Amino acid sequence: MADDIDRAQQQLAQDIADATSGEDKQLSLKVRELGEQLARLLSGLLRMARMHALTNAAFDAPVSQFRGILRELWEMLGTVNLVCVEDQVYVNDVRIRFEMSAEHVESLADDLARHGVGGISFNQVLEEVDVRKLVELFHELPPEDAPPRPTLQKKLAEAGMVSMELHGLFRFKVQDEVARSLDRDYALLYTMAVAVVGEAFTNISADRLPNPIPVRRMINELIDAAKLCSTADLATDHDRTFTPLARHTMMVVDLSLLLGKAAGLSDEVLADLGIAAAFHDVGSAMTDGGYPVPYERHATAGLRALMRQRGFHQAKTRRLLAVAEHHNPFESERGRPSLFARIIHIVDDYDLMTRNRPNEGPVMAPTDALARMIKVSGTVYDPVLLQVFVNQMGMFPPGSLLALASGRTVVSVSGARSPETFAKPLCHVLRREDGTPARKGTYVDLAEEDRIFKLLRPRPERATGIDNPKTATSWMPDR
Amino acid sequence: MTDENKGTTPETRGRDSGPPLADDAPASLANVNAETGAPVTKEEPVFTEDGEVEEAVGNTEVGKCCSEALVALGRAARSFLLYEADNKAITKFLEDLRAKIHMYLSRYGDMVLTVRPWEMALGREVVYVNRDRERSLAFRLFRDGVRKVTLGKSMAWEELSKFLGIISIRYKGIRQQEDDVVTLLWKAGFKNITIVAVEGFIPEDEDYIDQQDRGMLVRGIFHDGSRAFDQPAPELAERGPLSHVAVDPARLSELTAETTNLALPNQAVSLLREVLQTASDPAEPLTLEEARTTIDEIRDFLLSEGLLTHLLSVLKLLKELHFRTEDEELQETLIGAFSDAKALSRIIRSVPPGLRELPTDLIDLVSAIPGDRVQLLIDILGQERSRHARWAVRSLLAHFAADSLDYLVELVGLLDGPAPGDLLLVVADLNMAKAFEVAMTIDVDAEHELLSTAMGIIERNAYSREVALKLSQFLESQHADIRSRSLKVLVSKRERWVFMAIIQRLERHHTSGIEPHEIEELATAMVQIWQTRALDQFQRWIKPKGLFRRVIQGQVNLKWAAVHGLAMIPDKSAAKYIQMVIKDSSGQLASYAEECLTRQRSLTGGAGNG
Repeated sequence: MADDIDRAQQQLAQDIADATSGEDKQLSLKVRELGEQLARLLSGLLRMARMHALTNAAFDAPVSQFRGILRELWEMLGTVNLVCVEDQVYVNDVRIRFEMSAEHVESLADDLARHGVGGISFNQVLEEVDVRKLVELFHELPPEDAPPRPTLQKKLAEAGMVSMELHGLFRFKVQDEVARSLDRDYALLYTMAVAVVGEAFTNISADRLPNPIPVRRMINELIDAAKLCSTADLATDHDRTFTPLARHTMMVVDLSLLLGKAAGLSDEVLADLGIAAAFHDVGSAMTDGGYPVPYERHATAGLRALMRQRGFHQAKTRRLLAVAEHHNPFESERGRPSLFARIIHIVDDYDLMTRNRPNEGPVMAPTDALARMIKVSGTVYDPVLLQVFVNQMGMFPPGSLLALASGRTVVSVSGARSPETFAKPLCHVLRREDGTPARKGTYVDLAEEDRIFKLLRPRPERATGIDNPKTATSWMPDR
Repeated sequence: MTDENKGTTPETRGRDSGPPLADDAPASLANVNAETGAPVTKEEPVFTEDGEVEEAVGNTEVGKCCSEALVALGRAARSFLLYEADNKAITKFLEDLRAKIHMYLSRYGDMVLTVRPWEMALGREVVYVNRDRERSLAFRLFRDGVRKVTLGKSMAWEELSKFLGIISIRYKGIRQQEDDVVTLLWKAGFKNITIVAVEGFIPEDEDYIDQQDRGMLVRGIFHDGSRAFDQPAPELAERGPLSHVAVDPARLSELTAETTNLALPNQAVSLLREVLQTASDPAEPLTLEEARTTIDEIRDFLLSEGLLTHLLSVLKLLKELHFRTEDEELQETLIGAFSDAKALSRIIRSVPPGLRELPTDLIDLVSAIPGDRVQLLIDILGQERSRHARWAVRSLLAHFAADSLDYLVELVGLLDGPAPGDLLLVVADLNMAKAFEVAMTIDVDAEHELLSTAMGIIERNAYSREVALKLSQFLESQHADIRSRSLKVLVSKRERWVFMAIIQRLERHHTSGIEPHEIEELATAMVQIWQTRALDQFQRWIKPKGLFRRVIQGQVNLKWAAVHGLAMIPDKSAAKYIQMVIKDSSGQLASYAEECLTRQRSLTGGAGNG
């Protein structure tokens, strides 16, 4: 038993040492300190407004201080989120310890809550006149005949403060609630993830310190939710209203997690992989001297941006490597890329070849993309990982358009369900034998019936004598 | 998370947990009430760091037992604030924690706790209270979002210690950039510990995904579709065959091996290589200054792990690459930081003990150091205390200081502490003749290490009159081993003049100030050098004549020396004089004399009984 205690003590020491090396203590202390000042000043200003007119000189100093602190926080973190939840105050996920009495916390929360506001996002720095206006508007009584928060938001916009966002009342989110929401729809989670990753991109592109924790939490949820999903769920572009970069990033995240899991990576490692995938193209959001970074340098631009995060951590090391190397070939005189980079390289290129581009459609069919990748397996792509990926996606990955022998036109909605059904996916019927649109929700399992006549391609494909469906006409599918 | 347990499927997360604590009775259990089985209230209160008592609470036996366990948990978590991680005090806290948790789980099963800001409750019973923000386990957990904790009956010690680690990190106030408590708990993948925590906050009305509003306010390429661009697809011209091919599990194992801690050093070096090459590319805007923090962090990691080969590869790269003009000064600074005294000390300390030869990587690393390597090594030598580290530094000096012999010799005379001894050894490695010259100048009052080294050099060199003189000085050293070694050499050369020196030493310390083994050593030397004179002298010490009789009669050390020496002389009179001592003495001297008599008789075959 003494050995168990010794081992535990050594492991505890190591864990604490690792945590310490991954800390950016300066940043943490600074955020807490400034956040506390910000919240206290706002609370104080709102209380003063009950007693004095806003033109009173007593407001000058605290208004100026508020603006200064907001600027400092914004320059460090980007959007500053001040949230009152139950009896706590948070600034950008950091819980503020009030040295004052709880009465001040309650007062701030009450002043916001009477307008139906639980939190404020400051997306830009405010001028002093804006701060006074903010205090004035919060001091006013909310309307009796209109919803208070939208009314206040509108007044702020009319006063020129379009960069401020008012949020409704909050409550703590407890874990088992998350399970219930995820049961509904992976697509919903995908949408939430876009918001979180997008905010991270925005902050990083504005030269602020990267903060991976919100993204990590999101990725953890995706990993757990993916256990209930099929390959097709993960390999589907859930929302085409998002920008190309957003859709591509999320697809790379999803497919990286799919490939990583199939390769046997643990959840803990998958979480790190997911974050690396989320940030793999962050360099595309950067600018160089005010101009967009050229595509050829987006990897190093991403590396440069993410290096601003301080603290040594193995996840960070692997993430930076992945961002820097994700276009490097498997065999290279620069050495073999890291594991995460090799995974992301495969799924990144796959998506770039198969995604539906605005006004263009996909470059090629998924089958052709995989076939081309297999040809350079071992030189451009990691052969083991690529084969795992092919085994998961099947001969006709989700999204493949097929003409069946029966005359039906279908789209694949499954990956390979087994080695035996590698080339026989489950399909959603688009058109009947006679060419008319099929009833919604009609499926055909090619493992059970019918057979593939032809792979329908978006563009002419040169056949090279391999046993794949021969050239089709150029065709833009009507989905 | 999809389920309350967070462990999801065992094969995806979690660890090999070991046997359940409830079944695994620790050696040290709290005293148990024979009737109820609950722990007996401690005889001593448990003190917190400032002497404030943190007592267990609880109205029922179950509650009290639970409370004891929670107090132990809080104490163990706080202990890392006060003590170094390897301190024995922490070991005791861990033992206590294990015992108390075992006590509860084995008797009462799952421990289901509700966490409130200042207290924790088991059902309706409050089992923990502490209103001190800094010390309260309840507050720490509540602040980090934990609202309910269940320690399952099947929980193993490994899981509990992992949980303790997470709490301890937060007690130390560490706020990591990569993880918070929620993600740490997820990563841990507990099978038998269930945590219900808040994971942030959500709007009460759930319409919080409003992309349009968000897009209006949060500009950026991720949301701003006006920045229309798309990445080019790779140009892969040829097709290959697609089929399902089973992947060898061994190949997959190779992949997962890249995710272990063992792979991290290579990955860190790869990253650094990538960063440095980018910073040296004039087409890239990345500067060395921007990369500095990353470089420092990885360097510190490699240093802390003592990874010579990796450090060396990075150092080589730093030296070989050409950076912008404005980065050149920083380049030198960074190179220096890989090989300054502090860095080199850490590396040297990581050299495994017991090596007979230095790792070539270490030699190469020191070769890469700009500036005065010899002085750097000498500085380190002055600070190092560990034997194998000093061996490493000496070996390095022997390698690098061949042209600095005179300087080393000069320093032998100037420095304090153990360093001069080490330097003399280095001189001996480089030039034994020179080392011998120096050894012969060492004063008898020099530091022990230096004296010892000098002695060693002298022992290895040819004997001469000068050596004899030097050794005679060393006979007066305050260090017993130096005296002993000097005597051995002189005795081996049968230097008769030493005889008087020995007598003088013994007579100076006739009653005290000398250990028995040295007395015996000196007496032996007398016999070896000049037996007949020794016999005579011993007899005089036992039965003094004339004026000195009264003076010498009570001098125990002399008699001790005498009986010891007489035991080596096969003469009838020797036995007779030993018997005189036996007769006239008592205690230890008499006993020793009897032993000596036995030995003496064995020399003479039992004859000579006086």
